[in-house]
Amino acid sequence: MNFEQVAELAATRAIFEVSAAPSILAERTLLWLGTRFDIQRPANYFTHLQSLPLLALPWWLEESIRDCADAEFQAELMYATINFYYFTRILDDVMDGHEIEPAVLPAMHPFHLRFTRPYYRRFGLQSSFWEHFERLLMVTIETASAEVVLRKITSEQFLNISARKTAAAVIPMAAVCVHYDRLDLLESWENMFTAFGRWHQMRDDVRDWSADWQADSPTWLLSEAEQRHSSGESVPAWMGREGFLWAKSVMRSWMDETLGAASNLGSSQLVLYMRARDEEFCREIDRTIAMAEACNELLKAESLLEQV
Amino acid sequence: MSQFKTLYDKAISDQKFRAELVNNPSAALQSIGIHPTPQVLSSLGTALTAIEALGTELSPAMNVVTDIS
Repeated sequence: MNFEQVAELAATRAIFEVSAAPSILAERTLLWLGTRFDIQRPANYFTHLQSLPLLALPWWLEESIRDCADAEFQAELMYATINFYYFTRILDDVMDGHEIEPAVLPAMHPFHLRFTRPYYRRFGLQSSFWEHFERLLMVTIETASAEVVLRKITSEQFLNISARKTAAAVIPMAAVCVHYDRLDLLESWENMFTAFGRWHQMRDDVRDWSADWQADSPTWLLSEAEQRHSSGESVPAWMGREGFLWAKSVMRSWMDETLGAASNLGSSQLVLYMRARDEEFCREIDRTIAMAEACNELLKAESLLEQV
Repeated sequence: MSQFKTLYDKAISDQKFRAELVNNPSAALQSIGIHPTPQVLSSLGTALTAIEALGTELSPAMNVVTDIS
């Protein structure tokens, strides 16, 4: 089986288990899932080019170790990751104040159980895997908590908090390393993911800047806008004049760092993926900058009218 | 803030407004308190053409990864 087939299998299993025994919990959880994901094709959410490659990274890591991935092993890792993701999305909805029916919240228990169960089955309690599991999970938990109380975000807080919330995505990579007795590889894969995590978080912040600004949801980008805009200049005006260019420059250095780290990991698929993300973002940000320039022409209309 | 600065802020930050500005400029301008006189619409012509040419939606639809297996 190829990557897409295994991902489809794991994602379908995760959805099937939600609905296997009809109940109020199952009904409400499926309704909630349906508002966030396409539950007819549940793997798509995780295999979009623009998603974090949560399922693909352990696959590429295994391929770098033994040339091919063990479909059964990877399916278990994917199943664990998908359940953890659903758990996290419910938690995010609650923490962000989004509307979520209280009857859905108990589903966090089975999602968490199904996230951990594959690891308990594979690794004994004395396995070194659990040290990494706890370390990585705690980074995600601590940073998720710390970010909620921030009203402004500095560059240091972005690097140490906002961009580290996804650290738990390294857990299945740790599982691959321990399974093949190649823990020596974990640090370099984790460092690559940390560099990419910065880029990915910043991309989300650039993409969602307007919604974040309107919702008064702090990001490093918006904190910089508040600090750097000229007297009398609005946040949108600063974004158009300088913000997008600044973000593009910051992200260039992070993507270069990510590509440099990825190129040393022995996975051509990983490098291809990063290049594709880079190219797509460059097109996107250049178009955004061009749009800002086009919008700037609207301001010139005022002076034209004054001359009439 | 001048009405045209409001227009700029809305156009750069609100995709729906940007689409309306291109498709129905009179209604979009009225919604932020600018009277769409022929002179105003004429002065905005270059900007609206440039915005329309770029498309009003900035983020492309997400593509499915097909080459990672």
